[in-house]
Amino acid sequence: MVGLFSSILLPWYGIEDGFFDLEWIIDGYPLDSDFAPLFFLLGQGEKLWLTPLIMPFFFAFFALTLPQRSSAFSWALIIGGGLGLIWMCGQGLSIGIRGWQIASLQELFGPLDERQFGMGYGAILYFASCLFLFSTGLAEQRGTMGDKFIIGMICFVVMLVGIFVFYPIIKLIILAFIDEQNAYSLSLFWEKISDSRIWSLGCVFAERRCGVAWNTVFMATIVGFLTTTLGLVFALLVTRTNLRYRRIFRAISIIPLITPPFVIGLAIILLFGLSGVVSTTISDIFGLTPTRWVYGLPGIVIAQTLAYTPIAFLVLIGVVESVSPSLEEAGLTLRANPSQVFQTVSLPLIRPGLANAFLLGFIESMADFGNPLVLGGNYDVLSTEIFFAIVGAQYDQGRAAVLALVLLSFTLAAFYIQRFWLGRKSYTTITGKGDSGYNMKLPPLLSRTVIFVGSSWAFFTIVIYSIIVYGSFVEMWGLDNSLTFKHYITAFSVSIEENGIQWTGSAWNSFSTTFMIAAIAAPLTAAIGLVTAYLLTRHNFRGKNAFEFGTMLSFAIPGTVIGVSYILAFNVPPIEITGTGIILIVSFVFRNMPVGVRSGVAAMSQIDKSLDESSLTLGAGSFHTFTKIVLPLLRPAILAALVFSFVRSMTAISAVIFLVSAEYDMATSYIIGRVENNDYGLAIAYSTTLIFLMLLVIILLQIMVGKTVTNRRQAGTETQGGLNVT
Amino acid sequence: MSLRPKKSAAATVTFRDVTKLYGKDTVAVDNISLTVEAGTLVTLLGPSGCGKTTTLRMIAGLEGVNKGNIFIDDEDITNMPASERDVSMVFQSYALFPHKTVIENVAYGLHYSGLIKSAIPVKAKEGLSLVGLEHLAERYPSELSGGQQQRVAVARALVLEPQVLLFDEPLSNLDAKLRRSVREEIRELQQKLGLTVVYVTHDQEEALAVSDKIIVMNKGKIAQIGSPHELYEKPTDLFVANFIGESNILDCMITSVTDKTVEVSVGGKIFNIPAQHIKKGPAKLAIRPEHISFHNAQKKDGFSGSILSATYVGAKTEYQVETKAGKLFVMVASTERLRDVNTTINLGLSPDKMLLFND
Repeated sequence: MVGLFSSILLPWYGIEDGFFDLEWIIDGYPLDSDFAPLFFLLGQGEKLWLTPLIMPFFFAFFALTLPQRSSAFSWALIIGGGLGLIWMCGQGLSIGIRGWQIASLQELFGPLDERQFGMGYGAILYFASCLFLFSTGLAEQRGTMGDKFIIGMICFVVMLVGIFVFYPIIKLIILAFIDEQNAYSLSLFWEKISDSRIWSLGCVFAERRCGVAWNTVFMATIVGFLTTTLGLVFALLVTRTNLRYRRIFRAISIIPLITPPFVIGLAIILLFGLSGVVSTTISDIFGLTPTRWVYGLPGIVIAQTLAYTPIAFLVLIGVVESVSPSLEEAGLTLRANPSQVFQTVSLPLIRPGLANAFLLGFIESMADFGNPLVLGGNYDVLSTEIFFAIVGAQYDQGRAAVLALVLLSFTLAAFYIQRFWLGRKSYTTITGKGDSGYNMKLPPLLSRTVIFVGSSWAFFTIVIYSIIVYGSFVEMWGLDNSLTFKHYITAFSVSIEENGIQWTGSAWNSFSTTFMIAAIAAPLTAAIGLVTAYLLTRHNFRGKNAFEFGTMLSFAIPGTVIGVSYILAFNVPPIEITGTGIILIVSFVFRNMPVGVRSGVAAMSQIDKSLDESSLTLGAGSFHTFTKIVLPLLRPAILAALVFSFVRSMTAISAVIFLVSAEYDMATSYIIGRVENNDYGLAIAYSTTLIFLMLLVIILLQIMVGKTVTNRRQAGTETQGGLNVT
Repeated sequence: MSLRPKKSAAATVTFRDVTKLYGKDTVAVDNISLTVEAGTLVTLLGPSGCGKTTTLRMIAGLEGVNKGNIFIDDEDITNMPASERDVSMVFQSYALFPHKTVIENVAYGLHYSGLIKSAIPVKAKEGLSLVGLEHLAERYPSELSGGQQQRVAVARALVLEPQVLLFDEPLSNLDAKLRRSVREEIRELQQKLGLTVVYVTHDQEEALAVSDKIIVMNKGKIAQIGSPHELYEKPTDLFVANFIGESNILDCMITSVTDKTVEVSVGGKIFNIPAQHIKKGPAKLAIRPEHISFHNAQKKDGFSGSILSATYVGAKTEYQVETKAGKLFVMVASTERLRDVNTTINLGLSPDKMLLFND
């Protein structure tokens, strides 16, 4: 009885409307109104608007007296919990730091001298318990199968997603309509959104620059196209050719995933910039002066293609491998030669995957912040514009909000197309029993082309990464090419003194912060992702589709938009967490949740539903079924989710750049800071360290995952062997 | 309008000393030689892993041959790629192209057969009507039932009028009732069109029902080749006796062998049975459950025993009886009176139905 448990727990915890800094115990607890628990507050007559929050307790106690399965019981809980929730939201949103937030209420009640800060832990617990009261009540209603754990989890996830995904976006939308006098203005919004800086087509007709929006779309389209093509090349190379070192290609194509994206941009500067290796060599050989051709669209396209081809590769290799071999064999036995079979059977089946990969590349490119920042030159894109609108001199929240909305609408449109239009067209081949056979090798001409293109690109990738590693040892690129450890020392020096180890390097602060935050965020992401995946795959409830859409939505929201919306939403009460580590953790968790959900869904669909069902019929509740049966079988998926979210958290920049503070500086924003100060050596040294660290983490986790996977496979072959003896 | 039976198009398939290895050590097919006469339906029968599907795929050209040769009529096709062979195959999973309609599936092979473009739709429609599905021409495979999908797969293979038609366990995805009717349709089609068909299955009842000839395979080798009748009545080794139909296998001792009779000692009794190719010494005796009968009195060629279990399965009743010769599995028609468990019963064995195999 979760609801009752928390409601009994509450009176002992009390409620504070303040900060969870242990000093409060000494300072003024429990009487000082800044730190006091709820009951004490009310007892003293302070903050009377919180009075209705007591109501849920009455409802809960009342419900205790009722028989458990009656509808009165459930309604009592629903109303009680619901009231608590609504009132919390209402008072939180309407009363802020400066008193009334909403003008009409101010007129109604007169100005307040009181202030209200953000919610503290007590308030959070209260909120959570109201939620569980509500959900327990809901579970007792007919039509939900009375499963308290499941309903509780659903409500919990919905609430989390609502607060941390929808609320910031809605706040963002509202802000786009606000002008300086804090009044809502439609005309101002229109003026901002139709700004010619965003939309002009000047570069098509005249020599002037194009609007930011068109720039971004153009860039994203090119990058989407290139990454899809290269991803297909690699996928075909790895699965359908006879090249001997295919496995290496697989590894090479994935390395860019563990790199902070702008590092690739850096490397490009080192190669092709004014004092880049290639530029200087060419100018030496051909006598041409090096130009800044790299800065701008060309450089961004190259960097993003390098960075996002792995994503296309991962999508396409799944698709290519899922083309059932027997279909190609059937084609062959129907007198078509391999080349004809490839064109008429294999390619059409791969096509939906191609469109999928294109859209993914499109979204990632639009959302990319690091590369355009480093390499953009005069080519403005939406993400950098948003950044400058907030961080630069023109602190214009409204403009930032408008730009963010434009960006968001593009990515959402792409996301929508991907889910709804393409989803119907995919030809998932059902793997039946008689599906043995081999996938066909590519026809010779195509095979040679693929190998050529793939190898060249792989070579290019290797060059880029060698440059990065090499560059970390160079004193000053272009000017003084002597090798040195100086940058590493500056970043990571450690000295042992009398009072112990001193981390004297300049990078330790951000490094440890990043590591810690990523390490905290990763398990949380995996947990929420897997719980959500469990709910989605194993249970049917009303509104499931909306639920699914909501959880995957955060994937389509660019990091920049999340960063901006988080600052705007969480800088003020009721949830005031900017400048803390919490906001970083939260942004990572919800940004990466779709990954956990996707891998969880994929893994769970491989676990036969009857396993759960047998556990339930044997008397174990949903909670035990989940923890004792499902979870252990999901270990590979859990590890995959952990790895991926850890890596993404370590390499994130677009959201992070908005959310860092003096106390919580993240590695990626630190590196960008160094780049902006032209301290390339340090930036590269730091980046290289990050890359190797993540390789290490991945290999470690791979060893652990490898063990679990082989265990299952061996067990599988044993039983199969047993069945073979007929 | 149906396809005219083209007896001349059907061809003979010959394997000569064919061996197939997986990797370096795993022998899938071990030096087999066989002939499939033109216009006959020959079944490759055997347990999982015996090499029958591999053999089939070698005819299609989807597996390579390590040693030996394969011929269609007199042409050596051992190294010919699958696309160039005049062999069509119906896959176990049907392998219908999901992105093409039913009629496009059927017409697929015709595009590569040198037909004039305008003739293709006509021919495809003919092929589809041969299996009775012309009304489903514009549907997609995902919209059809299992049985319908299979028919489309058959039409697609047939429309090319191949020299050899291959079936890879075509009935395994169908339910029991459907299996009987579909296997009869396949047999009918084959006889009407005079096709050479090679058929793979692990279901021996299916094999007995449709085949002109059965090739029983075990562990990559051929165990026996013969008509259904021969294989059932005169299996040449213990494996075939056990695999086809049911058999009771008893230990026995051959005490004397002459031109006319063989004397066999089993369970303390001596039987004289018609001459078989057997040597003196310890041996195994096989007798089918339906060749054991119940009697009121002790018979000379029989045992008495105690009934361990009685199971009614409709047309027949199955009994397990403990006797001096061992546990015997007996099947009698259910018109016989049902006997109870733990009663003593007298069994009679038919000597001319006993099969002997050397150890």
